[in-house]
Amino acid sequence: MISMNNTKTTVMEPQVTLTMPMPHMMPKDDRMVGEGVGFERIRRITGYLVGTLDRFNDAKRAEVEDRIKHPLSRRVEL
Amino acid sequence: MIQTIIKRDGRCVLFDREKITDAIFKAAKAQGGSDRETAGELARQVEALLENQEKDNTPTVEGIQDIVEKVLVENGHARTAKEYILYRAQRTRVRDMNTRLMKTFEELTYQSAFENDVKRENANIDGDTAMGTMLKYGSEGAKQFYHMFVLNPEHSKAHLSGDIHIHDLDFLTLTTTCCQIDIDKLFEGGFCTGHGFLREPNDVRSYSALACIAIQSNQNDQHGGQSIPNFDYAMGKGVAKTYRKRYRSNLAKALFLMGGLDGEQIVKSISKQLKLNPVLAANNGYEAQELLLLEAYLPREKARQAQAFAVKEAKRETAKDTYQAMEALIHNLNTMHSRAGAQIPFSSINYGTDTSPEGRLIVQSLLEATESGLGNGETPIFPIQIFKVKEGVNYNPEDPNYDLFQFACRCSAKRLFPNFSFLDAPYNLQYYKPGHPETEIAYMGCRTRVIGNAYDTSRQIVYGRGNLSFTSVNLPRIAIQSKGNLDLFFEKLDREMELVIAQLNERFEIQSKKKVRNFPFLMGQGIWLDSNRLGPDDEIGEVLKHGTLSMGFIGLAECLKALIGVHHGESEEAQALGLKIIGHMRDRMDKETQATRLNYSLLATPAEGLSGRFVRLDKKKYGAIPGVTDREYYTNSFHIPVYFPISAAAKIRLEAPYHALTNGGHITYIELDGDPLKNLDAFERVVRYMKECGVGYGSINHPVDRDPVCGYTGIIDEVCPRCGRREGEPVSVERLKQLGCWNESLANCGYCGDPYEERDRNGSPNSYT
Repeated sequence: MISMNNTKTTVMEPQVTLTMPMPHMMPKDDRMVGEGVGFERIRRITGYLVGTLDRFNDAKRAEVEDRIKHPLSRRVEL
Repeated sequence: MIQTIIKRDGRCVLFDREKITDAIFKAAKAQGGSDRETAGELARQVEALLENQEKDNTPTVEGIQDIVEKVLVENGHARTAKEYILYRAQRTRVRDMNTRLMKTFEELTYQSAFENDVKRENANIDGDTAMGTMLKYGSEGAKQFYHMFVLNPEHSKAHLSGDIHIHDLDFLTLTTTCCQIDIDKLFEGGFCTGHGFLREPNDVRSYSALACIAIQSNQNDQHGGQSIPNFDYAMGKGVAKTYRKRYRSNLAKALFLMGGLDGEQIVKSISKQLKLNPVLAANNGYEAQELLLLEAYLPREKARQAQAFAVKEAKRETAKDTYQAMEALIHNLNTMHSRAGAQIPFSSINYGTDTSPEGRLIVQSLLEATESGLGNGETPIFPIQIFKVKEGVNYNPEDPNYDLFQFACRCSAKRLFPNFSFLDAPYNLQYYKPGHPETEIAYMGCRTRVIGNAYDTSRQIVYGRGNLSFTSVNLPRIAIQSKGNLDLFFEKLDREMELVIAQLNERFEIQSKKKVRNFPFLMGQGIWLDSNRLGPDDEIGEVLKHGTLSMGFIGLAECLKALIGVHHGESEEAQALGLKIIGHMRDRMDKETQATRLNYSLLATPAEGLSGRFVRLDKKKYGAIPGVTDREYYTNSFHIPVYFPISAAAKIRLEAPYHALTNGGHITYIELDGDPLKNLDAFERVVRYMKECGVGYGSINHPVDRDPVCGYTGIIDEVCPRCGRREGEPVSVERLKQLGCWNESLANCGYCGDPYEERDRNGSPNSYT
């Protein structure tokens, strides 16, 4: 089973933090990017996919969080 | 003496006895009365009573109405009193509805989709946009109007209370659900979108562009999705045209370079003389005939060389064109707008059985483009792709399209698409006629299935048909109410099914009265089967009979839990009972089909919005019953609950028999652990097992995550395996530079492509020969 804890996090507007105006002049680049940017998680909803989980309705979100993996046993061998 | 009264909204207005007279007279008239004087006399009595009762207080409207009822009853006007009370109740209902509607509108206006579940009812609609909200106003307003004035009150009540769910209720009086578009027929001679005419396309790129336009146009005429059942067969014709053009232009170039000849003129004259065309397979004798004619201009050996050059270059260019056409199709279907911009078209395409080089090139290019993803490497969510699996065509290693089946597995292991449909499942195979692609089962991506045709048994085909409407039964509720009594359960189920059939039928009556001109594309362009026989002012009732009326269901698992304490993943007894229940429902549909020759079918409802609605209502009514109403959703259709630990094989084996019963549509999916790309063999074995067990339509879920900052696509638990950041955390540009995934001009502004993946991409897909 895979941890889905972080799927609850809202995907925020991407923000770019630019602290140094002329990066090519700098020996080391200590700018930071990605603050507030979430991961995109694509899941199948009812046969089709949706962009990311934040478009799911409440019930479907709960269902996706409950989904557990189906182990492949030897019985799959034909 | 009464001067003023207080209205419901608190305003004070002048008292007017005539208004009471009017109300009483109206009620009397409804009962056949015609005596206004009596009404006036009764109104005077009301006024007298009021003055007596209220004395110093200003009377309210409600208070006055109470007195009117009293006066009517005391004077022996029982029937008028009854009519008055009914009228009053009806007015109260309308007022309530108006208040509720305004409340809904208020929420739609001032809450974001993040806060408001209604705005996220369908993940495919962006409820935060101007057009998305406008659609929601329309949708919510229409629903309330239908409840008050259109729906049979019995059906309205059953829907509102959660016994049944009438899907797409907002479109009740407007249109039908979905359609399988035969683009081959549509393209012949060109078509009109309703806003302009398009000529028959002449190369694969225009085929691709027009396929998107067809889907978009039809989506605006219906409330569900659109599907192309014959994607490879139809688009292959575009490949053939492209090859022809490319071959001729390259031959012309070769003739000029090798013999200083006017190549274009020669090629033109040859194509006039020969009846044949050059084809990708080079198996129709064209080259030999052409060679004879070329010998008039240059020596045989040189002519051969020119031909060889033309073939080689035409193949290369055709492959490139086809790839770009498929790439454009995916990009278009993920970006083009429909329904006033709130949605992208809900599109599906079915393919995999065309064994011609042209059809194969289409499928190969499409899969390559899907693997590559969108502009920044994102996983495309449309079109829903469905690979048709068929023995003798693509299922076994010796089959001509087996390589495409394996490619489809690889693509699905990375991008979740394609899904797989199984033409050999007995209930699909019975319609299959080799050489007739219209008899190959095709699914709407969501799962809807239409092929059998009781209305016209000579046309049990997929093309030009679809679902008209569907209504779902709340199985868990019937089980809860039956308290373990199976006889009672089936009795209640039977009553519910009668109600659903009557409701589907009433809706069909409304749909039947629509005219061709209401559907400029679907009917006006002859997409729907037989609609080409109708004129713009003809009613569509007769041709609609090719469609299906479906009864759906949700929560078989919770239903079984409520009845016998276990679901069908837990016990064989439950599985037997589950099959009995669903089989019973299918029998009822078959009976109705026989009686009416309308295509009633049983559907394993997709239930996106419904999954939460029924259980919310039932939890309120019956409390949290363990295993039944204690989660936020009811389990989809006949699925084994998602939280129940079970092997992939067992889940497939247990769900397969329900596919045979649900002729209106079905899907089974399993959740695979880890990265399936690392175990493609297992992936293919799962698909094969679905086929062997008799599944009709299935797919395999696995996590597809993406970090938009470094562009990594794959499984991300807590930490991105590439750049090491956690969700929402920043990462240093230095680190991204070290990883080789920093783009200065874009500043990785949150939506970065995957440089690793792009590096591995096959830039010009010439692998095809």
